Amino acid sequence: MSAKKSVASSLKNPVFSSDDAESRALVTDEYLGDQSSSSVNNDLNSILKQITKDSTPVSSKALKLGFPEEKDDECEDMQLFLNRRKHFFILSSAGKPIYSMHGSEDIIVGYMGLIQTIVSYFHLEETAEAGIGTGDLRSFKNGDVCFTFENRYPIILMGVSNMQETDVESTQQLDFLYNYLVTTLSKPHINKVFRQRESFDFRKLLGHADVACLNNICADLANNSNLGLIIGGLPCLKVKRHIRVKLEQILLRYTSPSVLYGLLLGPEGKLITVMRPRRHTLHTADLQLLFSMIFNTNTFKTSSTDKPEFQVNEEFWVPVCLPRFNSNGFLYAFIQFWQLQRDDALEKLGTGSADQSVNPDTTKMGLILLSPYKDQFYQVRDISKRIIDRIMESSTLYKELYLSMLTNTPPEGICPLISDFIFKSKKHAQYFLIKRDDDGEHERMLRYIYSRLHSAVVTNTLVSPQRSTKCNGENILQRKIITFDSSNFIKYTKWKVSSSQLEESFNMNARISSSPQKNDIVTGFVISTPSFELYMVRKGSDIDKKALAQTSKKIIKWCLKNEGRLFVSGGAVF
Amino acid sequence: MSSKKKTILKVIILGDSGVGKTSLMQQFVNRKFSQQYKATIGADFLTKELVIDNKNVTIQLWDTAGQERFQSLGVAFYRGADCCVLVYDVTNNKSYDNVVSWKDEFLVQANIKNPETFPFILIGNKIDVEENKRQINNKKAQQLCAQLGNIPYFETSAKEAVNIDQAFDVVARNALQQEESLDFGDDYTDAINIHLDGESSTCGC
Repeated sequence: MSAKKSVASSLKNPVFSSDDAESRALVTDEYLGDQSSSSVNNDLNSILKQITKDSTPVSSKALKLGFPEEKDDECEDMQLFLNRRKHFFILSSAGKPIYSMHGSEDIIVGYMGLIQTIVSYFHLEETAEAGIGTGDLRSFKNGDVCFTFENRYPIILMGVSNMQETDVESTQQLDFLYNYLVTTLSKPHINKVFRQRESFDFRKLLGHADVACLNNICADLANNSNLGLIIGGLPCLKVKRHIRVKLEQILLRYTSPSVLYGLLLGPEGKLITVMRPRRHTLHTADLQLLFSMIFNTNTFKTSSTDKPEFQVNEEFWVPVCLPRFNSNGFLYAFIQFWQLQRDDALEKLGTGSADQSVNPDTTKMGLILLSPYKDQFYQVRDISKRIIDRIMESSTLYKELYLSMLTNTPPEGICPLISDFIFKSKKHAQYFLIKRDDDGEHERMLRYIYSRLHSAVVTNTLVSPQRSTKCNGENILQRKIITFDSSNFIKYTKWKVSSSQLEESFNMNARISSSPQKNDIVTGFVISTPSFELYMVRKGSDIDKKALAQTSKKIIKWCLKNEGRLFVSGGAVF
Repeated sequence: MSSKKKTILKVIILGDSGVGKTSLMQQFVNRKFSQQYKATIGADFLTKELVIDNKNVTIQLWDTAGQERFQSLGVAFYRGADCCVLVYDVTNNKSYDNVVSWKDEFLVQANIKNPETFPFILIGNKIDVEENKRQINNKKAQQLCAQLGNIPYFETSAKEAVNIDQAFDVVARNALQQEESLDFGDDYTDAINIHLDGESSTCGC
């Protein structure tokens, strides 16, 4: 196995592509791999030295984590509606409601008209002023509340955020919601219904599952619970490189004109590997939509138990439109899950019997085969069956995959001071996550910190490097931003945790009872370079800057060295 | 949002400045009347829920400004309307004369596919005034309705709440009929197939 070789091949044939020019440039950017590891070291050293020089005094403000979870509702109370920290509205260009995260129909119908009027007003003004050009209202701010708009005739979207997000992030969220509608219906169909009648009530086309999925996507966006959407990438399962290669060989054995793309998934939508034609890449945004559809609804789960889990005996055949691939038509997704946790097999492998307390979904695999043909269900099902059989009959594959799913810790000594981190490879548009604790409050703290750190990265990419971010009432002990040039960026922030600051929540059920220790200090750290981003979080005692820098360096080196294990590089290309 | 959605009907109210469009809506929705005149700026939105033949409907009322200077928003306002209410003031000849041009303006701006069947309703407001101040009598109004394609006519008083509910009941019925007149087949999954060999129909990457 040669790391260099895999890198070279992935450069020619990137697995994923993204629409923005920046990411495309990154794909071809020089890779900071083996050949340049000494320069990586030097760069890191010079970057990290800057941190240790700094000596800002620590103030005594606290990190507020007491926000209630945002959840969809049909609340009729206007005051509660207006107090929400986050809103999403989707309406037709005629001003008729399509979707709103919050509020009863009574409340929202009037607002929909208002939103339509505001959007139309600016559209007309701009058109009039610029001659022919179309300029739309993108966003405005009222105090800390940010309003963002997307005018995608015949559909309009508006987001309202009181969460200190940048307008760029809010716009990306609206884009994602819009594309979800395209995924379920396709662009020509959306255009057609409105061409036939502009007053069309689009809600007629949205089924139960669609609305449930919209609710879940909005909740994810409002609570920062989908890390992939925050930092822009797909989660990846850490698997030994030769296991990935073996899986790719199996996939390649069953290529067929019936199948355009294949995706092998671990729990929580973590990528194991992909299969694709040489001429086509897969778009990260498309896969995020597809995974949202699969992992955000109960459509693919059992309904009999209290805790829905993925169906293992059922096969699904679902039309999906992948907007970045082709917004004009549907692909047909064959989706099947299966359980790795089989006692007999595991005993044979000597790993002991399965732990019954483990959530069954954590050891399930999923296979998605995307076909361009509506009528080839049986052919695709047959291919799926063969692939799954091949994987399951190899005890090596079986064992390694099983262990990969259950263990997710970096080797000893890599990051003893850090509880959690995310390493995102920009080239692969994938990320690897280490999470030490599943506790709800800890999880919420992580989401919040990761999203704040990512905001800082976004802000840095957008504006002149020296710009400092506004504090916006955030309770920050210490904040330091170091920018060397527009492409390298470090930020670290320390918060003091205060559990007494829990805000009065609207939904009492959403209150989290356990809270971090009162005197804990939380340190968030991000380093962004043209090829990767590293986000680290430490909770507990204060940490020495030097130690922080050393840790980040260790993690980066470890991740770069283990790139083949952490990320899907070329995939199975046919 | 719930699955038991009500039908939403977009209703546009048009007419000269000062004929009482906002007052009619306020009386219909909030059962209130204010003597004070306040010009509408741009547009106001009010909603009212009604039950029409056991069907729950929500009327989304678009109260537009009668003043000339707000007319540039026309296209945007009128887009996708299910019914158009034309209002004039029975004590104001000019507002009566302008009804035809309001209707024509609406048809042009809203890009209505079947102008003959699109539901309009004519309302003559302010019938509470003394008889000698009235300039348009019922007969003259009926003639106009016939000329506009036999559209329904109501004489109302927003001030004294006369005939408001009756008028809007017909508005809702006609709008609902219009809204339900087109049904969509479930043929959308038959959209374009993507063929592996067809370069032009695949992605551009």
